[in-house]
Amino acid sequence: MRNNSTCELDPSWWNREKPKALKKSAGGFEKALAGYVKIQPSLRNGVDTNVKKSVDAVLGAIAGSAKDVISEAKALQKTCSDKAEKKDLSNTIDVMGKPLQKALDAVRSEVEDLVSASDDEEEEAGAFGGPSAHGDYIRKLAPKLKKRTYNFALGLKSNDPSEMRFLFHLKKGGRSLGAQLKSKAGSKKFTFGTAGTQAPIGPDGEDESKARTLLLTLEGRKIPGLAKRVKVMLKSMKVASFSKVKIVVDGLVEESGEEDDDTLDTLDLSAIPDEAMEESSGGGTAPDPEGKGPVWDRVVELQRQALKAIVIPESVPLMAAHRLKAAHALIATKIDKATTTEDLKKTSADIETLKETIQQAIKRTVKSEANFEGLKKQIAKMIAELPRDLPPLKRVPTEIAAANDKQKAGQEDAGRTQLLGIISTVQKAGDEFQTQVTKRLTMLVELSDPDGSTDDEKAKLKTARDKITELLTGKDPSWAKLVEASKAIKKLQTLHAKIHRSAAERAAMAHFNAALGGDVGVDNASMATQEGTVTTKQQAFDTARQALETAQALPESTPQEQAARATAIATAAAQLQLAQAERDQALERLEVMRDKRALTDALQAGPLGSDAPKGFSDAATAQLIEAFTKDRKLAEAAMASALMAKDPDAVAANVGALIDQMNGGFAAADGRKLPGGAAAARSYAEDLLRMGGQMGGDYFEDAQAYIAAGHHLTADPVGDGAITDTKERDRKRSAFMADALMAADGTIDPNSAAAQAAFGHLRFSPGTIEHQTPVLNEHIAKRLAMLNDGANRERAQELLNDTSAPTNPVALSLLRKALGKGDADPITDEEAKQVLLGSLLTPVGQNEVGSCFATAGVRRQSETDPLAMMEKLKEIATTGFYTPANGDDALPAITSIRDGDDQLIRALEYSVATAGARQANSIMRRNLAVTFDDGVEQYKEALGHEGTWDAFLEMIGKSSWPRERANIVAAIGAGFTFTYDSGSDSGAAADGSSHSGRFVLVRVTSGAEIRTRAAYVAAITDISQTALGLDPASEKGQAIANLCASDAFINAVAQRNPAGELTYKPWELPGGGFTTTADNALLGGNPSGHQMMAKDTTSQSEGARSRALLEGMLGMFDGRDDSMVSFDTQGIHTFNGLPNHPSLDVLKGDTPAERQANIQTHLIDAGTALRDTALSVPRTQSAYDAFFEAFAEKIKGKGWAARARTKLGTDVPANRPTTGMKPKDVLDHAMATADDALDLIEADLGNADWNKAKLVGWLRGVFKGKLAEDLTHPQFVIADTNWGTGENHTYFVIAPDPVTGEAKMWKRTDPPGRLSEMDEKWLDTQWRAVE
Amino acid sequence: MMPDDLPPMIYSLSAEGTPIVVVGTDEVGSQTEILQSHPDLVTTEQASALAKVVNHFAREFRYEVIEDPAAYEDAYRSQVAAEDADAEFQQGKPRLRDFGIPDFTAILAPHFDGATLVYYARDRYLGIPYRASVAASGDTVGTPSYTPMALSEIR
Repeated sequence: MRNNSTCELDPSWWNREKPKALKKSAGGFEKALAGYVKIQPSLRNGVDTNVKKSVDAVLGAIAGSAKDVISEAKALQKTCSDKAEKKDLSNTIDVMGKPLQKALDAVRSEVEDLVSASDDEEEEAGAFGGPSAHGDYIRKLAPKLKKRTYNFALGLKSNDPSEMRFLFHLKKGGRSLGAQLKSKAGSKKFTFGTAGTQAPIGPDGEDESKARTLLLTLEGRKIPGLAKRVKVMLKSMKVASFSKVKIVVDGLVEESGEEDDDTLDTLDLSAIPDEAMEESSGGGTAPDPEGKGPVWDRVVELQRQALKAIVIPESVPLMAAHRLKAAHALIATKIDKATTTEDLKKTSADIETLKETIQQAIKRTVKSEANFEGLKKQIAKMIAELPRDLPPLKRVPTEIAAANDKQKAGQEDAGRTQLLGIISTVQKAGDEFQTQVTKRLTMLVELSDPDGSTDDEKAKLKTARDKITELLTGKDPSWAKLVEASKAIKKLQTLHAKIHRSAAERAAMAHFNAALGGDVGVDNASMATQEGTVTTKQQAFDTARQALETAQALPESTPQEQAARATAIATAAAQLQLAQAERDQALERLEVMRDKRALTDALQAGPLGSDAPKGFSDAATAQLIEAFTKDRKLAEAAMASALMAKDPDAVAANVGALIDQMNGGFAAADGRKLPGGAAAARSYAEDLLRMGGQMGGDYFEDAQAYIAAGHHLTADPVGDGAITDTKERDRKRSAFMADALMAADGTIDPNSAAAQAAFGHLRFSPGTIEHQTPVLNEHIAKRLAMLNDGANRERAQELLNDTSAPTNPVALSLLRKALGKGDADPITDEEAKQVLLGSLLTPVGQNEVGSCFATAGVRRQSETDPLAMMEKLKEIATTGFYTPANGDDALPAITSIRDGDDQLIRALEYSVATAGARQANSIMRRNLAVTFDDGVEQYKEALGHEGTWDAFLEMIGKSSWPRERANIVAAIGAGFTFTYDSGSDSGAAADGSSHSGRFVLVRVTSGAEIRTRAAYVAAITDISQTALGLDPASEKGQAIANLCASDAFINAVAQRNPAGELTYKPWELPGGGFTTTADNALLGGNPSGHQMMAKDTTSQSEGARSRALLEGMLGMFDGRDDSMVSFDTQGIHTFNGLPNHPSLDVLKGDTPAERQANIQTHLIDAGTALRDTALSVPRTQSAYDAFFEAFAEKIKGKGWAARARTKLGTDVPANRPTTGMKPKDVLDHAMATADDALDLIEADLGNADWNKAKLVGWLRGVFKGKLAEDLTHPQFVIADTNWGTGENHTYFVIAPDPVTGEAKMWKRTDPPGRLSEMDEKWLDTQWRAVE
Repeated sequence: MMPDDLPPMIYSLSAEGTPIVVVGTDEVGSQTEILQSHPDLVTTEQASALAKVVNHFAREFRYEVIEDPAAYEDAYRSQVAAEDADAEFQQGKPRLRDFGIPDFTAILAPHFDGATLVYYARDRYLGIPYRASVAASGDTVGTPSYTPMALSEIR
């Protein structure tokens, strides 16, 4: 017998294959096989239990004689010396074993089916009887349906469900069954498919016996309301076997018939397409109305094949084999019952897991049993079944050769181990190939024809799908074809998304036009006309209502009056009813027009247009368009959210479901709805969309779980409903989260139920997300992730364990304020820990008061090493002191902090700032003294005493120069201090920024600030005279005064560089603040500034400076991976650069030339194109409208703007552009239109703060920012400003100015992505990285 | 030499910028050196002088030894009263109100507590008091440590 000969239950096969050496048993086996052949005709004539018994007997005879064959073959093997003969016997033994058994089992199974089918046919009579008999028929079939999937047909005779008839069969096709129903039960129409059941899933998996859902998978035409109709039918026939009916079409549950009422819509049988009536001889391809069915079937079939191909080797231990078989069976059931692509994905994964498990079992068992040659054959066999070009197979020949070498070298065990490894590799390669094929086929199912696609589009999609299907499932599968299919799928996805988008647009417009009775225009004039109609109808309604009231007031004293009154009332009521209907109709029409207008605007001038600079993917656009047909307002909210979203696709994908939930009142799983009715539900939906856009990730999925659990019904779970201050709200929410994060015993667990519930409230509670804190939430999410790391959690826990209630009054004061306690209230250890943990969960943002030098560092530490910050916060919380990292003396923590702020973080920021300033002061004080000493050395020369100190001393009446010199230096060192002036031209630094921030010398005794040379000369003269004990009015005192005022002396103390420029002038100290000393205080080390861009001394343009800054920054950080680096713009601000922000990736390059070229392409050229390209007409109009909307908002309600508003009311619509314009032209046109109104404002107000020039500047800035928000993409984020709260955060970005085309610096606040121009001073100054 | 005979001292910097103390006409560049030449500094009577020497070599001009606690308290309270109670914190412009008020009764003139020299020093920049202590016995004086005093918030 050949190796692996396929076992056939046929004597001719046996005679071909049987070993010649076999004598005694060969005839018996042949006879047994002949018995099987003999019984075949009876099988074809139908199988009953008697026939089945005969078959069992024949199969038993075959099995018995096979044992005889095996026995004889084994006996012969022992005496046989011929190698080929021995092999022949060995192969026979193999085939008589498991392969024969499988063949016999297959026959038994088939006979079982035939018997069952025969039984079904016996019962078929009931299928064609009356309702009672049919009920019996279904009840008998129900238990079988719970075990097997049947073909079925469902016939309809009339609109009456009790006249519907089922016919089930295991073998016969649905069409054939339908034909039977038509001829025997008088059904006029029918549909067909497969019927099964769906079981509830319990702790031990699905329990078929409890299956109560009848699952009808249609292959024939759909019948409206079928699920409900079948349910009513079953009820009328008193069939209680099923409580639910689900209709599955193309793998998706289309109807679930779960309604409680039995009311049915009238079914028009004539409306059911004729195709359903066509009979078929069976087989053939099921109807494929949407191009989904065949592919779905193919995927299912492939999964079945894949599962079937999985064989559990006999070598696997018995118990493991049982488990694997059970898993195998379970997967098979799941495949049968799969109704969605998700189901198929899961079963695909299950198959892979099963394969892996079997492989592991094989590895454990085969190692000790397989011989070297056997393994090699196994490898050869496995490879023969796989595509030859699978990448992992390339190594196999080499590895086999290596295994051979080992065997030859006497290392057979090592060789076997290597072969086992190869088997594993080959198996995995094959599995992986199959997985990839299945995965792609599953993707094809998802790429079915979108609703509303045209025949041409469907044809294109079908062609693409067919090509891919052929590549994946055609003859001669190969890796190359798989790769080709992958590329083709990518193209198909793009094509599909485009078609989906255009189909959605057409479908939406068709939807609106159907409601409007035609393609009604929705321009301003049309909208105004309809609004006028509504007004007219409303007036008519009011008049009719008045008429009714008048009629009701008529006298009714006499019967005649009563009759007249009744008639008048009836007439008026009828008129009122008519008027109401007409008004409602007009209003409804207006609403539809508004819906259409909103979508039109979004398509033409908004982000849904194909020309939108910041548009969405085609798929997301299609989903948003579809949302407009369901709920315009929520669609607009989704669009706005998606524009700023981290994952716009997620927003778009979820808006549809969210609209449905909103319409359902956001009911929890138990049916409880959100209080407050439709308005509250709408508001909640909008808030979820906004927050979801900001949070990204699995936000919407998590929200579903939160809502289903009913958590959203808890009122004000955080307890911040009454808080109005933003920072206080942040603090409250952080504290709430901290409280939940820490258990009663002080341990922290980010995965505890309490922590997860609390974070759920922060993200999803209606009351919480009404006042959204996305930045805070994201910060908390990062902290929770950080604490999920074991080492981090351990360290944080140590810090918490080491935290107890303080005794230091400063620490007590800070904690009391944090907890909202009174001045004398006690603090517990637990409260101290909670405050500390709350601060860890609070994002660091700069307060309105200036603290940028320290805040930048603290924020950076918070983002990059939060536990180091926590350690410092812990010191403050427990001791009231802050110890600088540079080894300097500790200082008491600052307590002058606003009540609503996070007390510990602010205390840290301010303490770091103070420590940095103190260090700077110390350095400057010493510098001043030493420099002054240099000046003192000039005394002799300045006084003309021929270089002898003695003469000088004699002149001033002193004898010990070292002593006098020391006296003067000491007086200088102790006589001055320094204060920081954040900037005179911008007043108090509202945002930590200023124009000329610098230290100023201060005389200690008077507190006077030294800002001029004269003031400095006066101060040092006074100090010198005092130190030397000279009367200022004396000749000697005057000599000192002259000395101090001399150029020679001043030159010495002021210091000059080689170019002769003064570099250190005590009365005009250099600007720049104390970034380095603050960083040194916070982090230690020896930070110093490194210039990225020099101060502008040649009046470069804003564009050139922007470019220089980007080049400098990217050059400095080339090849580095810093996430945050301290930046300072000397004298203005200290913040954190983001040299590796993802938006900068396109600008990076390995060489300066590459970076310059990228900047040229993506920034400079993009800006030029933006400037020089005319906007479309709708976008031009949109920009023009935005200009005047901002203007109207600015002067809204102002009495002095009344004339201007009237003027604008006339001029703005009259001058609305009708052609496309470039951005600058739009601005100029809008400015020209606004000019008269601006003149009127200036004339009527007469206020210097609101003059025309300022308003023009303001309008220009707002216009540019708005236009840039819409048009500039990408925007290059260069730095984190420190400015922000839990609600939003602000970044510095470089992006083109749409009006000038030049690159410029903006600040962008996220959310909502609002851009504001930055003053050019920011780019004019020096930029440094401090590290 | 009796304490009264100690020459006046000047706490200054050398031409190279290192701390020096000029004793009489002698420029002394280290604490050790000055203690060798003037061992009588380590006496109760000379606690203030010793505190100033130790303070200068340890921190140069950063702190000023508080020799008259009552005067310091008066000045402190006057400054607090002069500061704007509603002003916000501003970096580089320290105010006493940013910190709080110390327990003035704890502030004493330089003195010995056993073999430890204890003195209070005013941070010249911040104005707040520190408690400094250093082991001092015989002709050996260590390096002082400076601890900020506990303050109470000014409401």
